[in-house]
Amino acid sequence: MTDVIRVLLADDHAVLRSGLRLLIERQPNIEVVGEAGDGNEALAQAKALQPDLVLLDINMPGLDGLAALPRLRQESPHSRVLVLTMHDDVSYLQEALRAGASGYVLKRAVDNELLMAIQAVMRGETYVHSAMTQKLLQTMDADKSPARNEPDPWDALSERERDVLRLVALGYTNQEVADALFLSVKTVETYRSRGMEKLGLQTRAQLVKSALKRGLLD
Amino acid sequence: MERIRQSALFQRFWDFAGAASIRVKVLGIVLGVIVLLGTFIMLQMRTAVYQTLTAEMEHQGVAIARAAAGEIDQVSGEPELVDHVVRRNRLHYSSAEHNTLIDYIIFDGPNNAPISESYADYVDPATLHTTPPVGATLIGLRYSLPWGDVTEVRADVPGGLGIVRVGLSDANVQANLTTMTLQIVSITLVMIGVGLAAAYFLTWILTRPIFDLVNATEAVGRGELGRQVPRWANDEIGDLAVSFNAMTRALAQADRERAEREALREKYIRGVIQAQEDERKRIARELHDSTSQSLTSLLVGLRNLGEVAPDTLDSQIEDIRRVVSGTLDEVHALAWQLRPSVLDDLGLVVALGRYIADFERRYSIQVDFTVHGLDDRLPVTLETSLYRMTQEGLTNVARHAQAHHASVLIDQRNNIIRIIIEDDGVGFNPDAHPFGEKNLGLQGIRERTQLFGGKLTIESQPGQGTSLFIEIPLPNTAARTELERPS
Repeated sequence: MTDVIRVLLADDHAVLRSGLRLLIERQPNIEVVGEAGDGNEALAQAKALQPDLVLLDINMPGLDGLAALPRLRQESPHSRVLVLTMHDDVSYLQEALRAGASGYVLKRAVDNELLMAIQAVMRGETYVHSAMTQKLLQTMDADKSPARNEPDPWDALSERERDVLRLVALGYTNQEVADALFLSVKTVETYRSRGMEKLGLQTRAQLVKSALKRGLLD
Repeated sequence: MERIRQSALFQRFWDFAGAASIRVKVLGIVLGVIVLLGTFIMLQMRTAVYQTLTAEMEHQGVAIARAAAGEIDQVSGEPELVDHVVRRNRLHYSSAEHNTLIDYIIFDGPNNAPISESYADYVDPATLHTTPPVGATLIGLRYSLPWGDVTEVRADVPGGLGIVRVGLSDANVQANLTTMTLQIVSITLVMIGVGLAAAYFLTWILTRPIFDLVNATEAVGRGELGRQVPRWANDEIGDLAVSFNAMTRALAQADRERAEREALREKYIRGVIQAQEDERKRIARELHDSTSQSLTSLLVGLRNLGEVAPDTLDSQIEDIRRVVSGTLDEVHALAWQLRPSVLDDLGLVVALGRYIADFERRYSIQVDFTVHGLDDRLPVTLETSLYRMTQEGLTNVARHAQAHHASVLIDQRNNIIRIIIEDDGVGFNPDAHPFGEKNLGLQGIRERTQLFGGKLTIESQPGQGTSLFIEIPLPNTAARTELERPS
């Protein structure tokens, strides 16, 4: 029976495991071959059983899911891993995908999405919960830097404005900037707001990003 | 009115004199006293010596006049012999051994007509004749002639032959007086030198312990409470040194006690913060690991139930499913608010990024978030505190600032981690009420900053937005492992 999917359940919550087993085994082509209550047990079971799919919880006592994932891929290279978790943070998703997970299902959607996700992953696709996909795309958008060939606004700054903004970007208070450049605080504020306006920036955090891009803080 | 003017005058004097150092004051007094004394003695001596010398000169003059008169008597007024007598007497008594200077000797006849005269080289007889001494007595008459003061004494020649007038020059007396004055002045100068040297030494003895005390006081003012001063002498200044030392010991004691209380307080606060954090962590984990899991089991169970239950129950099962799902979301959010598990699992930056995204959604304030130089994870307690401080800072922005934009910058350089939270809101005057009761948030941030040996700087003005600068020195690796609590 090669087309039966052999699944290992790794979750520390026994009641949930039994519920999931019930849910999964209702499907004709899926079979739960083992259960594990923590990361280490999951590793041992995966090594012994070489399942087609591991349903892996992130929060587990001892070795947690994210830490177990890469080793699990080593111990059982043919097993695909579907992460099943409470965490709706993109960072966890990114960590999981980086560590070799094939899918990411949120527990609050487990009843509706799990079977779909299992089928998708077994078809060789990567399954990610739809809301999470949205978040992932947003972070990738933010990382993308606009590579436009516009004139550098930093060139439009006067020397004084550039000095002031550099120190502001380095995290100095207006008072400290004033002391360092032998200016009054009022003058520093003026240079700062004028320079920020020229750069089209509103906040210090934006300024630091811009200065970093230009290599001014190294 | 007079008094006020006087006191104003005195005030002006004291503004000038009082500003001088003790040494200058003492030296000035010594100088003044010696000069005053010297001058007084000189004047006194001059008068006395002058009188003595003049009297002596007059005596001599009388003796000379008498001798001359006697000799004239012996030669019975023979004119040639008289001339010789007069001249010889003048020359004889003008010699150095007699210590007198005779300007002239004149022998007048009975009708006051001069019979014989003899003058010193510098005397102009014409002048003498035009200013005849009037009212002269036998004792002496003093008058001035162009070449100097002259004292004239007279003696009658026996037998009514006439009188002998002897003019004695004052020059000798004046020369003596000048010599004496110069001596007194040079003695006074020597006295001034000795007196100033003595006074200098004296003030050195006096002021040195005072300088010590001043230095020590300044040191204590700077906080060097271990400073003691030596007791130089058994005098009033010595007493001052002793009580000064007693005072600094008391201060040091009080400072130690204060530091102990402060350490105790810090320990207490640290404990409270730690306990609160542990408790939040425990509850969050409980919610996450247990409650959420149970609810998830319910979801799965309902699904399984739905598979076997008759279709008539479907809508009811769906209702329950929605409730369970909603509760699961709430529990999850609650756990997150208590303590985000990402903070432990993935670190400060991820946790703050998520918090800031939630914050932007909830308060409609755009927050720019930039991290620079923070490559490694920090000690757990520090990350937790930085997270909580940023949370407090942003909560303040949402509560008080009425801002549209905010910015969070985390920057790690030179082993210092900075968090700068800025907004473009209404601002406030940080000097007026920096950590008032109203602003417990800022107080909490400051408290946490101090626990890590850092500092909180606030820059704000009404209408100019607010900037919070949290600076915390990173513990070195050795201390870092100590901070790291086994979890």
